[in-house]
Amino acid sequence: MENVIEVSGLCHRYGSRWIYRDLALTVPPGRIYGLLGKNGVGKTTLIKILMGFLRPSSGRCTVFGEDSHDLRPEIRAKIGLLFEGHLAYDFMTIAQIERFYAPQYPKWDRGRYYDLVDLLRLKPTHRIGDMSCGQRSQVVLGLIMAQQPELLILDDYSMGLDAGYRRLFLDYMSEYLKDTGRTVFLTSHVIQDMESFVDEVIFLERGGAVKSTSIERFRDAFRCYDLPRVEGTRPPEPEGPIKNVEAHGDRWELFGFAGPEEVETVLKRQGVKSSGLTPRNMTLEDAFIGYTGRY
Amino acid sequence: MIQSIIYKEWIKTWRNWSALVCLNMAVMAYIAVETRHLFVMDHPEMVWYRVMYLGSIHFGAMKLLPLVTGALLGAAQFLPEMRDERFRLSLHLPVKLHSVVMGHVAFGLCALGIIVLADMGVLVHITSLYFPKEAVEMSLWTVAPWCTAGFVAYLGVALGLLEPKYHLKAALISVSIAMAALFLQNTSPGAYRPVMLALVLSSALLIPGVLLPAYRFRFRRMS
Repeated sequence: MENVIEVSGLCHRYGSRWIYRDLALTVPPGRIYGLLGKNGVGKTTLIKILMGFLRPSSGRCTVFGEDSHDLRPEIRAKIGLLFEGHLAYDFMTIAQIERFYAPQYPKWDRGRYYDLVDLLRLKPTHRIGDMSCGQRSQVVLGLIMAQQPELLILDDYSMGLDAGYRRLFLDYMSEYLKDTGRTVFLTSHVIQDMESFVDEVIFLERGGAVKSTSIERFRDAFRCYDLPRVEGTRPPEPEGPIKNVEAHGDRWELFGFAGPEEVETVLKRQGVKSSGLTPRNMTLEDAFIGYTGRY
Repeated sequence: MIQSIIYKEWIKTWRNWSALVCLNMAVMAYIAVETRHLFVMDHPEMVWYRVMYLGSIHFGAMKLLPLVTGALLGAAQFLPEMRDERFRLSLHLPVKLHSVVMGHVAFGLCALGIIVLADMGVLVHITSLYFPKEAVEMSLWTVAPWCTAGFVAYLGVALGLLEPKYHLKAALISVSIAMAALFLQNTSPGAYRPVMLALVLSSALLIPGVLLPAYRFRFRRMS
């Protein structure tokens, strides 16, 4: 089946600063993809390009087979967008915003919107501008769900939400997506939420390097090792299977897709003593920081 | 589809629009009082002489009214859309981009048109109470460029707010100010009559012109 999102040879720059050169990734249907990366690597830029609000300098970005900046209205009807900060027309009330969106979408499910919004126990005449960020997120989620899109692009859905609202958001979304074949492409700064929600993660690095993998594969293959720091010896460097090295007081943290033997071989080649090299368990957040680096 | 945009625009602007109607009616009431005052303070034949032969304008307070109304209405309509770039919400609707933009502009022009027509109606009524129909006709030709300046101001604000690039924003606002100033020259009553059609048609080019900054807002790059 055709990929829902296809990015190939994508280049973009702001002024003379290149954000990506030759970025490529694909998102097949029915999967939940999380886009991860440090601040400044171009996550928001990629989301804007996918959403069609930014035309890339060169390369292709297609959604449902059409250029993302030139989608026909029929294709746009199949895409639910969550803008950063749960953007909504805040001068409207709960009922008015539903009445505004409903005629636009042929599969509009009014019941689903009110199922979610009724949990807020607010009057239909309550203005969105008078809501908290969490309440607004529920209205926006209700609108996206009522639209019944085939692809959901969620830009930093966790922004401004406390743990309760984040959980509510993900629980509703998981329930909504169950057995529907819908595709989700999202970004978030809360890594631990991704663990139970997404099928695949895409690591985006400075310059546009991309690694796409499932959470399970990443957790199984990506390792962390502690190496005691010894005065007078040269520090280990990222090379080959060692993706990243972080200094931590009296020890080094070595991250990479490699077993202990492979790491020892690399350290030996670098002239670094590998005595005391010990594997260490990580949370997904540790692994993310280990993969992308702290700075 | 377009009904939704009109619905949204009405929800967004009705308070501001109502306030502008009140402002306009207050100014028209002032003009009515001032006109009556002319006849109280002087002999009617002197007032007629000044208005009919010397070109005195008894409704000068109205000169900048459409301009201010148009600019404020444009701001009321497009400022909330530019806050956090909320206009993206409308641009993602399954409607063609030019239909979305023209829907917004058409709503604004109609809302402004209703106010301007109401002003003109009141002016016709006031003038016809005291003057012959030639003066009524002349008053309409006199306010026509002022009203057109109101539409130019509305479109200028729309252009300036939609345009994402600052240097182009400044250029579009400058062009709009120059065009509006063209309609507000101090001339004798009805002096614009021979050129009014040409000026209105050239100003109407601003309407499709709004599409260009809207496209730049949508894609941020045009080439």
